[in-house]
Amino acid sequence: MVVWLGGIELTYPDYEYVETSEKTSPPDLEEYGTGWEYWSDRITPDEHVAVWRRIALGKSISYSTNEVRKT
Amino acid sequence: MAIITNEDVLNAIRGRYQSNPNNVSDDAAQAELVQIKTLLSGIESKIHTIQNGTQPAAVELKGSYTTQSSIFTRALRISSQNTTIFRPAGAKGCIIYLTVYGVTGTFGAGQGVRLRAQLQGIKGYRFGDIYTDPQTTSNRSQIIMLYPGATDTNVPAADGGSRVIAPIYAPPRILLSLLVNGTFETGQGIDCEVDIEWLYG
Repeated sequence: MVVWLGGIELTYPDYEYVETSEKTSPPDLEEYGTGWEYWSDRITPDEHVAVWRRIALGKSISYSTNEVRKT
Repeated sequence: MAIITNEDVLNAIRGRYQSNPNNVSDDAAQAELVQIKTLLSGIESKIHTIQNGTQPAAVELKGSYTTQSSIFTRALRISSQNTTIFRPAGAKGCIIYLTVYGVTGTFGAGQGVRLRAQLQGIKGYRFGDIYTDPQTTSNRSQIIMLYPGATDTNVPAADGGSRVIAPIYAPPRILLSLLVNGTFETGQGIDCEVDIEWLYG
């Protein structure tokens, strides 16, 4: 995922996500492993969950500057 | 006195001394020749029919293949997008994939992310309108599949995913929309992308 911010190219991470019942309950270590950060909540008429994210395994994050481009 | 050699005998057998020297009769060869002439005549007739435009060339593609391309690249979205896609030459059908990686925000009944495909004829006028169900679940996908004879009978849908399968050819144009509805605070949104797979043959 690439994001253009005023001439700065940010290669946005390809995240993977898991959900838990609330922000105070991080993803289970044994089932999901480590590296999760709390992203935000999702609220629907049927549920209220906490969404966690981490950079997908095998993906890399890179930040670089570039000349301004039109998008 | 002429001397008759073995070569003369052979030439006589070959017909060299006949009034029409090469008119050697061979029933098997004649029959085969008739078959070949009949076959050539049939081929010639078919070529003329095709050239006159009274019958399309009987071309049959063996096997099938697919091509894939991105329609809306992966991004964190809080609003809808749309674009017109054109059926490539030779494509018979397509599968449009909405891949939803992660979802945050507040959603009311009937809100979320989904696909809308407005099917258009060769002049661009709509004749069909397909929606998938609104989705708010992470790690799911939705598809719209258009292919003659396609069916999803006996294939249960995944919880949270959505699909529409229509047993029709892909139309010349599709106005494809990625519909996003919900309330998003800063940093929230729907991490998703849309791809298309064209089906040939």
